[in-house]
Amino acid sequence: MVILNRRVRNFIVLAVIIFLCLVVITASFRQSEIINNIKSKTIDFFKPIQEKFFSLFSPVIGFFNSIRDYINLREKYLDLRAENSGLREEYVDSVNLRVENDSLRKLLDMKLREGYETITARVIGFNKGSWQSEIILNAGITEGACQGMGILSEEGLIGVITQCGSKSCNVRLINDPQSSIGVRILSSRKLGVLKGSQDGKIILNYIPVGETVFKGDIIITSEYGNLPGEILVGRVSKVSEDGNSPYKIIEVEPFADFKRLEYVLILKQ
Amino acid sequence: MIMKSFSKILHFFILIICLLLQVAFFGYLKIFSISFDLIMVAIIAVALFDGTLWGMLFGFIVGLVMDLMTGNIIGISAFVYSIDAFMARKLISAGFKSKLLTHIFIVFLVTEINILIFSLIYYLFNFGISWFGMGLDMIIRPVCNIILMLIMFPLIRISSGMDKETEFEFKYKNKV
Repeated sequence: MVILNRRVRNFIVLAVIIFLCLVVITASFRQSEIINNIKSKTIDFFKPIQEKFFSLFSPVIGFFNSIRDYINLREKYLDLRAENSGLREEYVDSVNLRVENDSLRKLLDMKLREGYETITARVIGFNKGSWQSEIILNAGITEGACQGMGILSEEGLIGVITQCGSKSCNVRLINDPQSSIGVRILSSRKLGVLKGSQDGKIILNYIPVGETVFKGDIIITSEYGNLPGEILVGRVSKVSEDGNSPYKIIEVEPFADFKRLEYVLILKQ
Repeated sequence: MIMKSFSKILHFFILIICLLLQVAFFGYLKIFSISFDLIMVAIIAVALFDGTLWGMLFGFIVGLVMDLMTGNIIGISAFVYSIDAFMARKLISAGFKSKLLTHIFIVFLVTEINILIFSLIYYLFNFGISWFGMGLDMIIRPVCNIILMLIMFPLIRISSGMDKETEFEFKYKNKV
């Protein structure tokens, strides 16, 4: 009898939990204000202890990175040597173009492009899985961060703030399946949308089949999105076509290395 | 009674520490395709040693906090972890002769079902499915979780003050 009662009780508790979960999932999907507030409060509440935990495990994470670096050392050296020789040539061209650009801007009385104001933040948490790719930063509204702001590493764009607490925030990385960012191909100036995918690949969408896109083309943010334009994002790594689709399938390799994110910059807009 | 209540509180704190470890460290390892789910293993252990009710309740609370900290859709982890706790306790009746084998079987099966439920829910919410990624996860994650099980299960068992003979309400020694 007692066992039967327990079984019935467990089934009732499970049914209540399932009902509560369905309510929460629905509220979350409808972007409920209450849920967003609770979310902000939760990330703020756990921030101090999470920061301590992250500091504790930083050496271990560093150790993993060192092993990976050691294994890839030779390959990386050859890549860098090839890149260096290419960059040297580009540098000369770039200096000439800059001089020319400055003089033309003066001639037209146009302002030079201004730098962005940024806030430095530290990564204090990761949530990487098939369905999401997020990090948590130790800066929030108090430091001037706000939902929708872009996040940069030394190499380029890494993601966008999705949830902002008073002292911490959640960042959706550009390889998250829900991430969607307006971008341009630097060489052809064509506009497209950069989306993450479940297997971690970053795909550039809406580039018509007729367009010429080369492997190695640089992708920058477009000025029409929520982020400022011309921020480096990545490089085209693979171009293919699907017979049924009017658009090319373009894979993009990000400049930023998501495996070694430690300190990042929040782009104040 | 006080001892039992104390062990429940202790287990809750262990689960919170597991949650922080998952976000601060094990989440990072997923970048290398090493996919540990420390929270799931801890919840299975709590369900086995404290009972289904506590496993489901703790699964719901910790899953909800996890979703609030880093989730895309809040409530999904809470739902799945509660189901995991419920299933783990049901699976114990499969009862292999070896205790270790039974534990491995439960962790393996719950992990696989966990992945399938998550995939199904996300699919219903219009997310794309990468079959290769899911297949890889279904191979790697159970192995990683079984390794974690070897640490978490004794930890929860010791903290619940349970001796080996009365574990799971039946005597293994007699079964063997």
